Parts: sequence; structure tokens; C-alpha cells
Amino acid sequence: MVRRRVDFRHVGALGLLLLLGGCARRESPPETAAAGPRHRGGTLVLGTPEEPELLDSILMLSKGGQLINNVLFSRFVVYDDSLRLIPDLVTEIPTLANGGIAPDELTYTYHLRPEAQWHDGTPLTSADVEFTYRVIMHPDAGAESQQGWDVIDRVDTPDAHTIVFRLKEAYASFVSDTFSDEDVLPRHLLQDFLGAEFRHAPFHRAPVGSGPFRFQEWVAGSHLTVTRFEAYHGGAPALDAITFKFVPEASTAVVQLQAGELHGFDQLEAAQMQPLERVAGLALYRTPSQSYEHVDFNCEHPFLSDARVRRALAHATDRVAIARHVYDGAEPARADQRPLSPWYAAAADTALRHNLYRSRALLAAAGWRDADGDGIVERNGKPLRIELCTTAGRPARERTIAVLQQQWRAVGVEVTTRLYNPAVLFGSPESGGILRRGAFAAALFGWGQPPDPAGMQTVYGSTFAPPNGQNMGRFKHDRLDSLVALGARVADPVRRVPLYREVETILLRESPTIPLVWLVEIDVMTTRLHGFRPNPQSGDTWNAHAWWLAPAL
Amino acid sequence: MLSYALRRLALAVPLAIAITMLSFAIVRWAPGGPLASADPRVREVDRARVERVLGLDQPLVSQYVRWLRTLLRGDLGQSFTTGQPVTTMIGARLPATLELMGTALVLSLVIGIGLGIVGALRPGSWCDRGLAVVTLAGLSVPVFWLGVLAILVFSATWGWLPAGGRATLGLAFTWGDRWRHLALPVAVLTVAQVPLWSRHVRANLIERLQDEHVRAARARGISERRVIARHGLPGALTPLVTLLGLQVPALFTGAVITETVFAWPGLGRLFHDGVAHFDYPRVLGILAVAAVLTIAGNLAADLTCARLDPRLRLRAPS
Repeated sequence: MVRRRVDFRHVGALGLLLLLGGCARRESPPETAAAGPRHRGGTLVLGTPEEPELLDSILMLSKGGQLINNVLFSRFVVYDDSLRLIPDLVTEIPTLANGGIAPDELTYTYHLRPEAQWHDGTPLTSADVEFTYRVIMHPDAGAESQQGWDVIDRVDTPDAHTIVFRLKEAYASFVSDTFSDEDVLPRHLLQDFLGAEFRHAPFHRAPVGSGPFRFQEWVAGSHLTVTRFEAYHGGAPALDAITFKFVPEASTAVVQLQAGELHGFDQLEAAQMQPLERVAGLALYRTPSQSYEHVDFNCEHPFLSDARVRRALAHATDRVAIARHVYDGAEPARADQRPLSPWYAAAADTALRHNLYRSRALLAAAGWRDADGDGIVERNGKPLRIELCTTAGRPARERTIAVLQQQWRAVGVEVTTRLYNPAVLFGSPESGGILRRGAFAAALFGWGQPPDPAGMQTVYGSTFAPPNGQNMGRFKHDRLDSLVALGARVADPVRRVPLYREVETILLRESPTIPLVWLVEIDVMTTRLHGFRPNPQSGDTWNAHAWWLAPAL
Repeated sequence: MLSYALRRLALAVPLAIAITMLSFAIVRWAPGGPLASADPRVREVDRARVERVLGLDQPLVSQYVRWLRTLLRGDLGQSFTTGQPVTTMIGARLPATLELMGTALVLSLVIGIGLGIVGALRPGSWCDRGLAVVTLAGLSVPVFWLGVLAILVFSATWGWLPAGGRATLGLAFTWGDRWRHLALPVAVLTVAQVPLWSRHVRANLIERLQDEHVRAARARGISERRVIARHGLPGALTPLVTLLGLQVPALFTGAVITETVFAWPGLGRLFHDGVAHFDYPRVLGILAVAAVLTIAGNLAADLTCARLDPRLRLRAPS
């Protein structure tokens, strides 16, 4: 049993490693031993388009601060650049095999690294972890999400470096959820702010963390500087300091990169790559992200409630052409999991291939035929006419719906297109949100796919239509419901694999969604920086403690 | 004069309250909300809890009344996204905005008035037509485009000036460094603002030079330079006071586009980011201060005009 589990984890990690290695078009020379010995010193100036609103991952309502929080704080676990979960503050990741997870899958035990300490020299202990849990669960503190924390029944701290979480119910993604997004907070500095005052604590703008760099200064609208923390539990970083410079306009960032005012820039727009391609001393990184673009169907729509019609539209979609021509050669998405993910179903390789003959046959089987010869199929005298909407202001999406309009027209489906302000498309039902009200037929937007599949329950489960979850298309399937419910409870990855592969197979057959393309993250960095390994999941600064800057020639 | 000022002040109070109501309604009825930029997979139960913590679960009217009460106490509230008092956030950005907008205003006034006088002295001449073309071009060219072009030419190509920011990172403050960073954004704003002043000065001065008292001055043999300086210009510049009054809030609110292009850490970007994150207290706070400044600027301009031109006081409705 143990052997199989270990094998599985290695295969999964290796698969993802191969995937990322194969897909990443890294224009820079790969890291080699020829880089020379690790040089200590230097300040890296890293540009970023978005300034964080505050430095607290618990309150943060957007991901703008992840880049900076990574270097200031520590977490229990981190996803590395091959999507493998690795320990950060804890000595090892709890599993059934090492006893960290009890056989009933309701008790999780973590051991903190004894050398971990806060930037003010205070030791980081289990009391800090227990305090952070209380902050997250406090009804007035305003934590962005309590998901994964609200299954905890009790937190015990038998000693300064041991934390035991006892759960009310089994929760499969507890290890990957707990303290992978949220940072551990210092109790001795924040205990007076527990409750409604937490949001207003000055700490969030000048934090004392436990990460590889300590906070130095934050000039609002301009930059934020962090300096090396010598006592970091992962070993003192090589860089003296990192300055994050906030540059909201991409063309300004390009000039600053060319002029050497910036050493790198996080998440560049594709249109800005070209002027930087030939700049000496800069390397461009194209990294596949966990985000994918897709079309969601409203399964309560009178025409689209028939799975044959949805599958016909999937067969009419040439996602390879879309990926190549609209998304600059990105990887087409055959399913909502990457091909080498352990959850990926092999059937996805061929199930929804671009096949106009198959598409027309499915429409005909559903009773849709072009009786009047106008090129549009009808049933009971009604033409198959649907509206496809997406967000305004995203050129790639606007082009994609135009392409889909043409591709679906080829099988006799007439498509009208509509653009919405993102706040309107994604808004709450009370504020008129299109998706959450179900006021759409087909919608193109993006999802970020977490490495752990437990979240699929809230995206496809019948009982998770808004306002209870993100099942925007109101998809209902009894078998899928039971599979995702079971998958969200079982901690043993070996037992989860067949469950989610079956889920994937159902999704291919029922086609409530058409995955289109995996998005790519573009970063630019000076070739003097060594150890840079872009990581769209955890943020590119996830391993900043290992970065070093070669001296300027 | 005092009764005139009091009458204007009495009108300003209901106007300010009406503006707060209108801005509150527009901001709150706009689709989206503070949780629009949150992870889309955040559960509805978590959304509801955060909305309760932020006070967004209350009826709109009671939210407005609560906000107005704090506003009347001089408190702009606390930001949803940063947790800071809005006044603190404004205070941190105000120096940068005043520096940028104030410099651009002074420069554009000086250049605009000068060009306006030159055009008015020889209306219809080649010089006047040339200036008209240049100023119209300045008025028509989008600031965004001009800003990017300026960066490309002066920073990327020639490397004379920094591409953005307010200071060189890692260097101690020097006025030379500050002026180098100010140069491009100020130049772009000046190009956009000069036409406003020059066209008004030109039109007003041409009109004033036709007035009877100016013709009488000329008939008395007073030199042309003295005629313009003593009899033409004062009358031509009086209407500019009103325009200047309208520019006062811009000194505070900053220039969103220019600040974004040049990464200038001013209030324009603070407001822009507040809108993007649906940070209601921040957006409403800045709007409220801008509204008060607009009213105060208008009031000050009216009072100044009334002082300069007694006819306005006498004509003012009771």
C-alpha cells in the first residue's frame, strides 16, 4: 500500500516535471554549473505591475501581494516549480505513511522547524500557528476564506514545535490547503488586534515575518524594499536586498528594463516581449500556468441542456488553431487537467477532437437539421441560435469568441457575441452578475486549476450552483456528484486517482465546458540572476532565498 | 461683499451634500464590489462574512447616513483594502501630486499667458496661426500617447531622462534628481494645459483691446506697451481667475493617466487603484474632498472676480 502510494507520488511529480520542462519555452540559457560559485551581495530591482494593497495573505482579496509575501513570510508547505508540495516551516509533510495523518484521516500532526524565528529574533512556535488559526476563524477579522479551516474541530499544541489539528470530517486537501496560501503570523505582535481591529493593524504595512528577507521600507506608489534575514531557517539568502518597483504601465516597464533601471519584470504582457527579445543581458521566460481559458455552457438553456448539442459544439471547436493563432502558440487544453497530471483521463486525447462530421451527426441526432437550406440548423422551426459572451478589454478573448463564432457557424450554429465589463460578468447575483445569475447561454472566461482536484466539487457539483459555489453552468450529474464528494474526503492519493479520472471522463461525455488553451506566464529577468525558477502557482519569488546575482562585468 | 460671500456659502452647503449623495449612489450602484477581485472560488458563505465585516450587508441608505456622519466629523473612513484611514493614504500621496500638478499648472499658466498675448497682438498673422496650430495639437493629442512618445524619445532613445518614478532608487534626495524625474510628466501635462490658457487669454485680450477705455488711452498718446499692460491685460486676465478656481481640485486629484504612464506615486493612481478594487471609502473620500475643493475653488474665484469687478457684486442675485 505504502509502496504504491510512494510510486504514485513520484510518477505524478515526474510527469508534471516533464510536462513543465517540455512546454516551457525558456529563451534564456538554462542554469548550468558554468555559472560559477554563488556570489553573495547585490540588490535586485524587480518590477511588478501591481502594488499590493496590504501585506497579509489572510485578508488579501487579490493576488497582487503574493510576490512580496513570499519573501517576507513562511508557510507550512509550498508548491515548487514542478507543482510538488514541499515543506517550508515544517520538518516534513504529514502523510498516512509517516504517521502525520492518522489512519482515520481526521488527525494531522505537524512539526515546526525548531530553528525558525521571526525577524525580530523571537522564536516561531506552535502558539503562533494556533493564533493564526484563531485569526482566520474569527468572525470579525475578515479573512478572505475560511475554506479548509472550518473543518477543524480542535487545535492542540503539545509542545512549542508540534501542532495537532483534529478535524470534524475528512478533508482530502487539508495538507495542500492549510498554510499553503496563508502565512503564519506572529502572536506576540498581533494578539492585541484579534477581531475587528485585525484589518486595521499597522503590522500589515510594515510586517515582521519569518521569510528569507525582512521588511525595510514601503514608499506607497513607488517601491518596497526587503533586506536579507541572516537567521532564515532555510539558510541566509545570497542577495543583500530586493526592491519591488511598482510600474503600472507596461511600455514604461520595457524602457526601464532596456535602460537597466529594472533587473526583471514579473508577468509581462505578450505584446511587450518583442522589444526585449534582443536586449543583451535579459532572458525571457514563458512558463505554462495552471490557468486555462474555456467556454462554459448554461446547462439550463433550452438548447444547451442537451449534452449532444454541447458535445457537437466541442467537436466543432478547433482549439489547436485558437491556441496557435490567438494565444501565440500556447498549449491547447483537451481537458481541465494537464495531460501528465495524475487526474487526467487518457480518453481526453481523442474524445473531443475537432471533427465537423461528428459534430453535425450529433446535432442531427439531437433533432437539429437545416431544413430550409439557410445554413443554420433548426428544430421545431426554431434556429439554433445562441449568445456567446466574455469580458471586455481582453483582446485575446475578444478574438477567440469571433473565431468560435466562425467555427460553430460551420456546423450550422448561429452565434451572437457580447462583451461585458468583468465586474458585470463575474459580479454577485445582487449586483447583476451575469454568470452567477445564470443569465447566459455560453461564456468564455478563465479558471485557475489548483494542483489538488478537491475544488472540482464546487465547480461541477449539482448543489454548488451560485450562490453556493461556482457551478456557473448549473451542470447536474448524479454520478459526478458522488465522485467529487468522495474525492474531497479521501486523503489517500492512490484511491483518489480513479475517482477523478472518472470525473474527467464524465466531463468529456457531458461537455458542460470546453477547455480551450492553457495560458502562459511571461517573465523577464537579467541573465546575471541565478536560481530564478518561475512558478505561476506559488509566485516567482517562491525560492528567492536561493537566488544570487553575478557581479556586473 | 460680506453678504455676497455669505450668500454663496449658503448655496455651497446643500450643493456639497447633493454631490455626496450623487457620488455615493453612482459608486455603489456600479456593478461589481470589493470582492470582485477576490479568488472566484471563494465560497458564498465567505463572501457574505466579509461583506458583513465591511458593513456592506446594511441597507444602502443606512450605509450612506453612516458614511456622511463620519464625513461631517472630518473622517473619511477606513479603506476596505488596506485597512488604513483614507486621510492617511491621501496624506502620503498628496506631496507628490501637488509637486507634479502645481509645477505643471504654474508652467502652463506662464507659457499659456505669454503665447496668448503674442497671438492677440497680431491676430491673423503667421505667428498667430502657427501658435493656433501648435496649441490645438497640444489640446488634441491624447496625454497617454504623448507620455509614451516622450518616454521613447527622451528615455529609451536618448537616455536623457528617467522613464518613470519620483526618485532614483538607492540615491539620497537631491533637487537635481527630483527635477529630472519631474521633467517628462510636467512637460506632458504642460503641453496639454497650455492651450486652455493661451486660447482664453488671446480671445479676451483681443476683445479688451477693442474697448472704449483702451481706445481712449491710445488717443491720449499712452505707449502701446503701457496700454496693453495697464488697460488691456487686467481685464483680459480676470476671467482666468474663474478657470483657475476650477483647476484647484485638479491639484489635489492629480492626473490619473500621466501618473500611470510615468509611475508617479500620486493621488490620481491612488484613486484609480481604489476604483479598480472597489474600495468605496477611498473612492468616496477622494471624491468628497475633490467636490469640496471644487466648490471652494469656485467660491474663491467668484469672490476674487467680485472684488476685481464690482459690477458682479451689484448684479448678484439676492
